[in-house]
Amino acid sequence: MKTAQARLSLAVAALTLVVMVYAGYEARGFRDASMWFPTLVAILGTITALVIIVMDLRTLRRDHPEEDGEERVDAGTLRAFALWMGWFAGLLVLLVALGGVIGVPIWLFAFLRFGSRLSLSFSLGGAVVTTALLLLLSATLDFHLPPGPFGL
Amino acid sequence: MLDIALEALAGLFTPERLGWLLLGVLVGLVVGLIPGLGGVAGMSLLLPFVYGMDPHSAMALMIGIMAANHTSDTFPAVLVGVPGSAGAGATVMDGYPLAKQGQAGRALGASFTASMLGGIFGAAVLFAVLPLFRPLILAFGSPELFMLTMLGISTVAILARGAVAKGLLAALFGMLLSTVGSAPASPDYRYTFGSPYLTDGLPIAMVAMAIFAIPEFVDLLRRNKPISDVTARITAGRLEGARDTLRHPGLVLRSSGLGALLGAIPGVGGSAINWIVYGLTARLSKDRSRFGKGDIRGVIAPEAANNSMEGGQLIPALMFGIPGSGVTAVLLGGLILVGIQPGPELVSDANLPVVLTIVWSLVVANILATAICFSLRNFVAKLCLIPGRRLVPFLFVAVALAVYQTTQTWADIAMLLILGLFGWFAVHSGWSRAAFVVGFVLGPPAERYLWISMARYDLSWLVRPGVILIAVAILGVLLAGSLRKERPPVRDEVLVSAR
Amino acid sequence: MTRTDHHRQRLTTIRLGAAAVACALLAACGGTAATDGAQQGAEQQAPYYEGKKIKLLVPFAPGGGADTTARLLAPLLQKAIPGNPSIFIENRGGGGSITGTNHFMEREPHDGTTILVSSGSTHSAYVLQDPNVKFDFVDMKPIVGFPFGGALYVWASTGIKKPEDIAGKTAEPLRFAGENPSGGDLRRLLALDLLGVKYQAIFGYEGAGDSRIAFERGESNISTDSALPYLREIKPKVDSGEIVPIMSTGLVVNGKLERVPSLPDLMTPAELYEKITGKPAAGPEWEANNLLVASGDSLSKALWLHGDAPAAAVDAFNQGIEKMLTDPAMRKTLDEELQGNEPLRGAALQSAIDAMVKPSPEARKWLQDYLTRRWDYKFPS
Repeated sequence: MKTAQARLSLAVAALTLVVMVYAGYEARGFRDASMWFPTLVAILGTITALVIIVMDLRTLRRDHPEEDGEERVDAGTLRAFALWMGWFAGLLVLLVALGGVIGVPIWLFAFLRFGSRLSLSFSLGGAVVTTALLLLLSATLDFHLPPGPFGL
Repeated sequence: MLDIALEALAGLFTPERLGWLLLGVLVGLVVGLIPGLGGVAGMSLLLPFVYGMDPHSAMALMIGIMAANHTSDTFPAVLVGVPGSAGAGATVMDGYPLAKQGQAGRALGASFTASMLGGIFGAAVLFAVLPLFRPLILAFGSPELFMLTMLGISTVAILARGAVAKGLLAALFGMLLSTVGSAPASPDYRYTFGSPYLTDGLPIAMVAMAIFAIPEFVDLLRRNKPISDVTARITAGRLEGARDTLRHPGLVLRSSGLGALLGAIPGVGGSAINWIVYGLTARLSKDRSRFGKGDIRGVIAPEAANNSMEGGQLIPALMFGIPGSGVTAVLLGGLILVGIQPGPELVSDANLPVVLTIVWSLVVANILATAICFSLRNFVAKLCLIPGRRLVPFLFVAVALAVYQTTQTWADIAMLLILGLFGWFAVHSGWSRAAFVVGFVLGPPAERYLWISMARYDLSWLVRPGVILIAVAILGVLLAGSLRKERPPVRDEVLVSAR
Repeated sequence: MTRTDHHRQRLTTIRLGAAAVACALLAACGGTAATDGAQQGAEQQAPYYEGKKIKLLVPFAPGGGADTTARLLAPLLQKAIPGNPSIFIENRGGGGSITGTNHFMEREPHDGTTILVSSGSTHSAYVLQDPNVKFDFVDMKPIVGFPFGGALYVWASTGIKKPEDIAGKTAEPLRFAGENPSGGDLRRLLALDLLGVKYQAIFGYEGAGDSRIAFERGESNISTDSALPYLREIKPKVDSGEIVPIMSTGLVVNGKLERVPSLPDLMTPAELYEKITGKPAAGPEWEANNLLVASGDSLSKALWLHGDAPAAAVDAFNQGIEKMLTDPAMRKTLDEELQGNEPLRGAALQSAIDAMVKPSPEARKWLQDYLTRRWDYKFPS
């Protein structure tokens, strides 16, 4: 296993460990019928997470960072990941703030033009056509667009 | 018997009924294609017109929607890795890697052919089993249903592809997430943090999209390359793909048989069935090194099961009036509207023509839906040639609005992003997505049926013949895997997708 | 959709044209008749719902009882309401129908273009004062209600021969398969407890259908069903001696628990209690039982407008319901589902709602104590 992956794996396993321990702790408050299953899962999950953490730690101690053909999850990758997730979150913000009919074309145009750096005409066209399609869908089918403050 | 069957078939081939069937198929294809919509949306659209319609036309219309809707959701699953419905997640496992290797046309061809054969087989099972159905269903008590979920969970070992500990953790994490919301056997709310949104738990369709689609979207954007590595020739020959499916008749038969059987048992649930079938196929294959990396069998099996399940699910719906899914529920409503009461008397000779119309509608609708999708496949496959940054923004809008349909609050999209965030890290650290989804899907029935089994039988359920039989099957599956010569653990699906 | 709309519009035009011709004829006949006719014509020209769409909000996922009722009613109402508005169904499931009902009150327009179908579980959440409930039925205008009484029965293998035996010793332990000690199951469990029946309640089943199958395969031996499926599927087995009916749920009519009209042979829980113990079924515990029956069985499904909906909308619905219930073809479709129960309107409907919205404080207190003691509920003090 490569060091970078082991480090990532360690982080994910540690997070899962915390979640599992919390879930087991929280489950004490449930009635018997609802308690046994999450408790069982939490105990097994805690053990498995610990096993993975130990395995990853051993990998980290043994292996030295080395480059090979595989893609590494490094700082650059993480930055790119954060950038694109940020764009995704932007749509959510726009949908809450402006609703679907306004939010989708604005976001889509912005993404295509400034995120993906595509031509102005493609960005505009893409935003307009998509919005038209969505309007058509919501008019004909049981498909709902977020209403936003203006009820659009 | 045969003459009544042929008569019913001839009855379907009037221009009017065939027209309704075709309309149903077209609507079914459209709503299946759009993530977030499903058969229920299509049925709701057309149900207002059903009242007062000739019952056979109405049935043709509704069955058309039902049969077609799981055929077209293969397009997003294979081409862009977006599981349009929960069950389509299993198709993503191998279909999407095939698309990446420039074999989208072939994968789609194989999948549609499998869908068609599965659908026809499901209809045949529906017809053959209807009179025997009662004893069959009564043979599956809660202990047997619990063992079936165990059979599904035992496939995690193979789905994890060598990284057993991580596969197990992924499955356990999936199970834990599945407990969020109101508990099955007591008036408890678990892990809802006082939020009304979480009281109904996390919708499976959203979880599947968060785990499969979002991490993939980010990586496509980062790399800004088309989905397909091969750009020269991604379209398939006239019968390519179809031949792949026909070359595996045993697999098609086994998968659709299992799909129809499990579909007929209320309590297993549609999305679990695809995963069980997928897991078993991977487990029982001689050479399983390519599963999760683009094995055509990994597409054929769940797709065959997917469509045969519809026939299976109609059995409890028609016999007990118990719908196995939202679509069958609405279908039942429609049947009542045109004057057909579901119930055991449907099996009587007097009602045979009605049942036969349903069966034939299912068959013809499957053929129509497949023919349409099959002819479109090369055209739609070109999606795989569009660079990531040109394609993904549109896909993300589609996925975000699709999950928004679940409760129509912004929390749907927020949850998609949170789970997607975790999913990206988990996938890059070597977790198996399949194991996670299997845990999520099978967690609730496992909890439910083990609890009931213990409450009802204490420990004596362990020696029920059905339980022992399934236990032997589970052992057989596990051993079948380990007795075969293990290849050296291959790299996880993950690294392939992160290439 | 558009084609049919168009078609419908054409029909309306033709009908209006005919009205105009009639007016002209009347005008020719004499002055007073002409004014009457003109007034009628004007009323008919602009029904409130002409060209409008009505959203029928179902606070459940597709497939439940309320959803089925809604999908049955929508096309009938579409035909029956003056102006023939197209009625579409929107499912907004979640929180045991509380989420969707809250949404109806808080977010949907109050102009009569959105109506709600509620069901027994909506009503019992309201009665039990679930903390998530943010709506009040007092603020809604009922359109029509549907009672659906049911029957409770056991396998003959329990050794039970007649209803009274249920409180005594049985050949095998009595088992009840249910979802959860809340909602629909609760009413049956309370009745069994009041009768002093010793039984094991097995929870965790996925829904009513799932528990029915559990009964079929012998995982449980007590089961309940609404009247129509009971008459269709269970009654033949009663006649052949495989199943023994115990009692009906009863229906609360004008504050009293009475037999279900379509199940006249079955005693109500109260009658059975009096037969077993010889004591009258009275006191807060029986009031509590009646409260649950009133909100869940007597008013099993109901259609609602907002309380401040325009009078024209209310009138249009009243006319529509009237037409739906009197038109022979529509009535036939409806009766298939109504299971022999007369829909509730006017005073009967109001009395059913009053039973739910104005329970006696003692009954409610007793119910909360019972839930805490027997089913481990926790109520915020």
